[in-house]
Amino acid sequence: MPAAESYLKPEVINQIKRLDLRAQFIVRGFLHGLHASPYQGFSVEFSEHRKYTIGDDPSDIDWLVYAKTDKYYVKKFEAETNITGYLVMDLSHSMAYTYRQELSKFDYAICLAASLGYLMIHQQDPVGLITFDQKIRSSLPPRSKRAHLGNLLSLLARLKPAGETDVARSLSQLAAMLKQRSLVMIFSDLLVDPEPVFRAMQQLRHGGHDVIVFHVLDEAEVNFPFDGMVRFEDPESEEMVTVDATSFRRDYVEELNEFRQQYRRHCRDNGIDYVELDTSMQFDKALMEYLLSRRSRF
Amino acid sequence: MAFMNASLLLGGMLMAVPVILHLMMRQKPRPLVFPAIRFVQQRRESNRRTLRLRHWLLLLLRALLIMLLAAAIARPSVNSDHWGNWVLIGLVSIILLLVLAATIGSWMNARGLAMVVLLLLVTLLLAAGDLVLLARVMDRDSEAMLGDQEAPVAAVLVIDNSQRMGYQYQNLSRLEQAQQTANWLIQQLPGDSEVAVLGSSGRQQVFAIDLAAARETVDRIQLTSVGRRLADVVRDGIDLLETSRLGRKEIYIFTDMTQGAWQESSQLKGVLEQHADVLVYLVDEGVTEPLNFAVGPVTLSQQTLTTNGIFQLRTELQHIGPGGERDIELYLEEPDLQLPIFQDGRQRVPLSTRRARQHVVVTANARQQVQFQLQGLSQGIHQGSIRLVGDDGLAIDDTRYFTIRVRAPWQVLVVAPTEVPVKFFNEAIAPFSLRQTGQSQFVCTIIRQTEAGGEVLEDQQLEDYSAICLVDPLPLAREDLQRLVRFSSQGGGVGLLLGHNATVNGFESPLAQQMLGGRLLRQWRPTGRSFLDPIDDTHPMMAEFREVSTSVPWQEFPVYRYWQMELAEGAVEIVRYANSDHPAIIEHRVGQGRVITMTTPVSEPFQITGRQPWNELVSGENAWPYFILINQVARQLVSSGESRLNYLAGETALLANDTKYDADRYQLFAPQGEPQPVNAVDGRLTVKFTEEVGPYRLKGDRDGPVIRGFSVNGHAHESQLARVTREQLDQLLGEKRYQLARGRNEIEFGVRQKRLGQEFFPLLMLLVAIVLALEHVLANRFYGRSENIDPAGSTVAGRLGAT
Repeated sequence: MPAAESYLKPEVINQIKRLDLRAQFIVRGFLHGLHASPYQGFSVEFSEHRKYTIGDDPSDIDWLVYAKTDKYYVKKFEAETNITGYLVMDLSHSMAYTYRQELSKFDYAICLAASLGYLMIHQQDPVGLITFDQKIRSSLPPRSKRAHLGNLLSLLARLKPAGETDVARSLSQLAAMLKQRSLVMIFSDLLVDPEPVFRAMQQLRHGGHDVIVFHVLDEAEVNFPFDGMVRFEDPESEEMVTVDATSFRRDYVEELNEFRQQYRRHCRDNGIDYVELDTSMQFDKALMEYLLSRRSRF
Repeated sequence: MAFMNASLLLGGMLMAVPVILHLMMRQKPRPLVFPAIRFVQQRRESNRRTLRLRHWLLLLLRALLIMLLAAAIARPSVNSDHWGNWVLIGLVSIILLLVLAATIGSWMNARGLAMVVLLLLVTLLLAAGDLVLLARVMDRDSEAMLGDQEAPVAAVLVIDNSQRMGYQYQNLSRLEQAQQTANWLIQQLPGDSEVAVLGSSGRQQVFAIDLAAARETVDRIQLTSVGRRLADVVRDGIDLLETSRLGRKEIYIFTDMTQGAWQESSQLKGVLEQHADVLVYLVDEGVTEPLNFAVGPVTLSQQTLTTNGIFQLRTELQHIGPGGERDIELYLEEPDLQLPIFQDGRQRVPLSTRRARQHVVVTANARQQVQFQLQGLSQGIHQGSIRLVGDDGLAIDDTRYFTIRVRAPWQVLVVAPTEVPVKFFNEAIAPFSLRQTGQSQFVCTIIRQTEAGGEVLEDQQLEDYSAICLVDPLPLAREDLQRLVRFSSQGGGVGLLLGHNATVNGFESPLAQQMLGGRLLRQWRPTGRSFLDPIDDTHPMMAEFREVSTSVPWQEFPVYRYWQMELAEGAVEIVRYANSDHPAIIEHRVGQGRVITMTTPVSEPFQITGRQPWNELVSGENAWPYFILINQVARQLVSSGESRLNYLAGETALLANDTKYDADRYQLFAPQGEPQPVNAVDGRLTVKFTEEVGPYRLKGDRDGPVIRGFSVNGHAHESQLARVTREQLDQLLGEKRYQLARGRNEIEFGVRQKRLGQEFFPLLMLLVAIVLALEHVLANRFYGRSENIDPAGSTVAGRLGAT
């Protein structure tokens, strides 16, 4: 029996077909591996005071209470339940790409979304699902009940990537759609012109939403492991380019880094979390990134 | 520049292969779906440019590789002298290529116009420099078109077979050593080669039929004393080579590298310059530190002695080496009229007995004079030898031979007018004291001339005399002149010592002029001081003066008057009058005889009345030059009928044969072999074959045995074993015109170097290796996978395994 952490590996998760199990294993594996858990104190709200005892974090001491009562009290927190999360899934055809014929970008994104959904519902956070290609295709409204998890996972499992995509337009649409301040988690390979996307993201931020961008790329898209003369074909636009891949690797990697750097810069400037992922990476990086970024918001 | 396998240069055409591959076999692109195509598109153009540059660079390297390989296999070579230039050209070419590559690179990468222009300028400059260098070297290297090593050659092997080559070292004579090397060398020559073997006898001057015949010729070569000079044989060899139609011409000179072999051959240098296509190899078969003692040339005081005369023999002990001492012995054969005879296949010769012995100490590389003296030899021919006791490297020069003849005193007829004193003349050639003891060389008979034009010789048996001297004669009768001419024609010597009794008219007849060797013009009284002034020190008559020639006090014996003469053709001036071009003593030949004319008298008395003295030759104080001069004149006159008895090898021996006393037919006993018949022709015995050194004996019969003989010695240069220096050789043959080799390895190396020149093979292979490495490095750099990229499944397995 492999250790729970092994489920954080995409190639292991790939062997599990049921998405609910995948999500469960990922989250368990993730939680199992946490030592000093950032989970504690996250998504919670003050509920009561209790007397300070040795061992408590002194930073939790409520100095106002101390001023009034001359006694040490620490704040006690409880889970906050009204943070609404949206899993926003890119359905573009490019997301179906996998070079090693294992986990496609889409599969990887689904696993990640499922895990996050699982995690949030377990924290009684309402979570919804929105899919888009040229525009928003389907949406599942956010709920926090356990039963909602089943709906969420079954919908995720049924998703199929197809056709071209228009991330910017879809995100603008989403920004207009969301009324309530929410946590928007975008899963996309972002293989479109970045400028419109930036603007759409800004729109989301203007709407007061927290945004996490999970930029999922195939490992081949990151490492460019090709050799010799290759004619590349875009699955969406069916454009074709012939290059000598061997000599082109460095150029490609430079270009990609530049692209990611653009996103990094823009996201940093706008208070957006930008998580670079590829399909060979363990899921915990994404989850940890999520948790850390969440905590920093509270 | 030449190629050993020029045809393999065609392999350079394989250079087309990578070009064709590059142009035709372009890699078919692999279709691949790839969503991140946007990252590819943006850099595609610059990548394609870089890529094309890399492709062309690699293509260039690969083509260069093939070209270099083809060039290397074709084994190019150049004349060794130009090797440095070619290397320089190569270096400049490499730099040119690099700069060219940099130029193209910066142009394609659009590195700025200034940079490109600068690089282009440098490229052009380098190219121009390279071309200039190439043109200059090609111009000078034109003679080095040698072709491959196995092509047939025309080779002449010149083997020095002079006696010097008999030097023994490590139980081999130099000739044997040379023969071994030559035979080996012939085996090394490519088949179909034309080979001629020339010894210094140089008789066979054609190419041998095949290599085996050439080897036989080599084996037949023997030591000889009569060889021609090595330089002459080499010249013959070069002439022979020029008759060959083969392209490659080589001459191998097997020499002991001694001074004796390489004397003055200034013409050879010119010949070698003319025939620049002939490769010259000097094969050194000599000994680096020769050790030899030699008896030098023998000088006899005279080869014909009179009875009771004293005979002096001078020679020297010559030495090459660190110095040492030797005994020199003089042997003389006991006269034996019965010998030699040829018996049981060998000669029996008279017994030699040792007559003198000297111990000589000689320092390193020096020579020491040795002198022997003998007296009391009986009349007849005496043959002897000077021998060194002990062994050394070269045996041939340890013995020298000599032959002398002892005879009765010469009869001289002195004719003088009554009032002319002949006492001085007589006492000069036959002093009273010697006459008393019977040691005088001459016996004078004096007859007096009473009137001008009167006959005086009619009663004389002229054939009894060896010479006739007319001292201050009156004009002679026609009959007497005829007798004198006849006497002289048969080998007699005539001395005409003119004085005041002569007249222009009296000596104007053709017969008189024939005897005088010219025409009397007038009596001449020199304005300034005049005396005898010898002009030809080498003349035998001057031999006695030679050693003291600068200290003879001729000026103390003034000449006041003499006969001015117009010389006939054939007359030779021996002595002139100082400060003029008037002859004093002339010599010419009439028939076989010799006539000496002196234009001032030798008989002027101390006190003269009625006229001025013509000179003070006799009356001067301490007139020793006069005595020697008159003796020399007399000896010269009597020796006109004498034969040379000592010859050098190869010279034709001529012996006068007096029909009255000598035999007509002789048996010639050469030092080796059976006797040969020799007949006297026209009163002469001629022996042409004098190749062997040693005593030659002639045995004839005329009322009992007649024994005659002569000696033959080797040439002096056959003992000159001192090594010739490189500078001397450069001077003789021309610098860098020959290849010096010692031993087979050096010959092989030298021949390869000369035939092939300096090879580029190692250098080209080095370049091939460098280009190959460069190609490899570049190809790896261009197409190699980055090591930090790790997409392979192995990593997955690794991670799985780790869990």
